[in-house]
Amino acid sequence: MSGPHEDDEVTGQEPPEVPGGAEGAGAPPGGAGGGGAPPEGDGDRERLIEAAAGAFRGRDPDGNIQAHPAWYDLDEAGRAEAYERARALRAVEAALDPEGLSTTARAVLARILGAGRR
Amino acid sequence: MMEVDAMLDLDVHLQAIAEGDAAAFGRWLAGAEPSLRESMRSFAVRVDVEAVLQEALLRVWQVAPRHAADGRPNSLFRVGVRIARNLCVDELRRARVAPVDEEALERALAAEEAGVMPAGPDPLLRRVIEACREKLRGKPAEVLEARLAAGGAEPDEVLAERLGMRANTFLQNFTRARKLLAECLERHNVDLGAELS
Repeated sequence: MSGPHEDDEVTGQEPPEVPGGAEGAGAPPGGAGGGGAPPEGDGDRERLIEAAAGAFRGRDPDGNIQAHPAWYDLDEAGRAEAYERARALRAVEAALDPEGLSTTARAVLARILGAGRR
Repeated sequence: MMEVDAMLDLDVHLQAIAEGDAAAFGRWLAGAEPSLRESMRSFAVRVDVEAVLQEALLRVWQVAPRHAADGRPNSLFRVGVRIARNLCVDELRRARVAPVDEEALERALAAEEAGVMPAGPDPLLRRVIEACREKLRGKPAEVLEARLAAGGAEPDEVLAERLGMRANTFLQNFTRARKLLAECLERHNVDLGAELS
């Protein structure tokens, strides 16, 4: 499985940055939308999906959890793919965690332990 | 793939959760999260399920002290399904992205709620995934470990900077890690490998 160049960082020309900052830049919580404009190329699309499939979500100034900025830039097919990828990743994460918790569960627990019960 | 069909009753944690035991809620989360996510599948192209799911789970924690079990298994889980569903519907209404057929939505959700219930962990699957993770080397191993260690509490940009990478390089390495894991799992006939690839 591991080739001789496994230790090399993925190199090549740096692609443009994916929008995906810590906070949602005024985006509505949860982020319902009709499907954003498709990104430029397959590489961009792949990075958007990979970013949106992660568990980190920023908060707005009121503390509401925000949709990932990359999610807004995906079309419907990309969003469906991000959902499926997240589902599989969370299963892997839970399997690798001593308490069976995915990064989603860890993020929720961190917020609970930080804020207590409202 | 190794499937575990045995349904759990996560209400065994209910009393401790109601008393504010976050560790008990963690055990509830471990069982409930996959099925709750599954129950939101039909919303995935209109709503960022990850964000809404996390909000729903926080609300489950908040309502748990006032929740009265109805005598059927997984009563708190079913509350979670309803909370998640309502959050999704709120998002659709607020964004006015498409007309919502309430009756059709109710039927779909009822079917999903009935069909999606928590199942137990699979120890054999865990061992295979751990063995595949241990075969990762270099940057792909680093970025996977970074996301796991962050526990969803830090954005990829911060993790990338910590590893001395640009955000896009971080994501490229994560893609590589994911595909290597998927190949390894597929070699072990784990269905998750295909879903991950």
